[in-house]
Amino acid sequence: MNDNEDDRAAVRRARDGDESAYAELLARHRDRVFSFLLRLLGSSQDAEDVAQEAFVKAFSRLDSYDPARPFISWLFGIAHHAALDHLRARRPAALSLDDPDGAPDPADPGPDVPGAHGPRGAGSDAEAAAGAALDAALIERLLAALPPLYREPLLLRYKEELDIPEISRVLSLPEGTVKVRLFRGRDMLKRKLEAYGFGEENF
Amino acid sequence: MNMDCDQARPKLSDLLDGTLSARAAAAVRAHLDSCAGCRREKALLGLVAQGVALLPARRPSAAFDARVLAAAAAARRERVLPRAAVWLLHAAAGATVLWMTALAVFARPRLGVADALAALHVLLHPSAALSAAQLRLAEAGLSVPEVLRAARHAASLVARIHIVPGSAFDALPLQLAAAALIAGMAMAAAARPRLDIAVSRRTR
Repeated sequence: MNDNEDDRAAVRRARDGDESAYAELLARHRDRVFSFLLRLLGSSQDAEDVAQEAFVKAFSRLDSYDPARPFISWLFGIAHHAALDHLRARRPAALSLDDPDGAPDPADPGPDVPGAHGPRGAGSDAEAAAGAALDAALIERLLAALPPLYREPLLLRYKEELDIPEISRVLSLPEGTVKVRLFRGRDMLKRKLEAYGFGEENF
Repeated sequence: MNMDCDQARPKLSDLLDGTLSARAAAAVRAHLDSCAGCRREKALLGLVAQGVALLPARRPSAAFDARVLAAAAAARRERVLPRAAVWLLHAAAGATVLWMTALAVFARPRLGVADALAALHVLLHPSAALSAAQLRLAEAGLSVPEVLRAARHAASLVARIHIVPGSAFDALPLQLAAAALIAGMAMAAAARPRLDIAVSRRTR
């Protein structure tokens, strides 16, 4: 909560023309927004471009920020829409973050997410199962293999710790849809962990 | 009544996230006590949340901050121009109306209350006032196409002022102010010969 008070103060200062307030807001949230976009888009270059666009947009719209809401959620909302525009522009046919539930998603994890090109087929999963340990690289790889529309709510919920109402505002989706996507995404990731041997002797 | 696996499994995620009602949570827990399969399922789902939370923060390149701040500052500068332009146009429209009113008062022999009302009309109904002004121009014997050309030129100048898309300034106040300004100028031009006549009559 303290962070959010700092954010609100910085937003006020920025609105009053204090240039250093922009740098402060950027420094505080840059890594979270960039990490989120990197895992969504798969490429560092794309993530940087879209993060820059999101921050510039946010900074020019500070008047519309509602201080009752966490600043970071507001930023994630802008970043989400910028990512959506980016994906639409790159692949007009693919609406990766907005596909109806269950539709196949053509977006592949790019080369920049560590471990994005790990084993994916059933055979290689079985190979890797022996001695699998829950580490960030493995989760990164498994998460990158999920369609972005399931990846996104999982990141917002379990990495960024936003609650369902906030996620529904970030994604501009009804809470019910967010819950369904979270449930399915979690189930998909669970099955991938199972394929890596988790749940055999561990429990 | 005891829950079975089919009833318990869809609730495991919510149990882990603490979003079940106390009663439902108790029922799911009672099932878990007696079902190793669902306990394993719950542990795996918990692992998903833990795993995602484990992901490290990643950093953009070192030049990122400088680039963002420069781009944001440039966007702010772009916004200042239309803000100033809107303000100037409003001020100009206001000044025109004041001037027209003064004209109406001081040039009483030829310009009266009607002209003051017309000036007010410019503010309230710029487009209607514009066509009224054109009529007056014709009455005053000025070349309408010439004045229209001048007005078009002024309008195109106004239209060239860059408006940041999506900014708080949409085109409407700018257009109203421009229309009021052009109408005011046209009316002033139309009134001028009459004023000249009035002044020359007085000095005679």
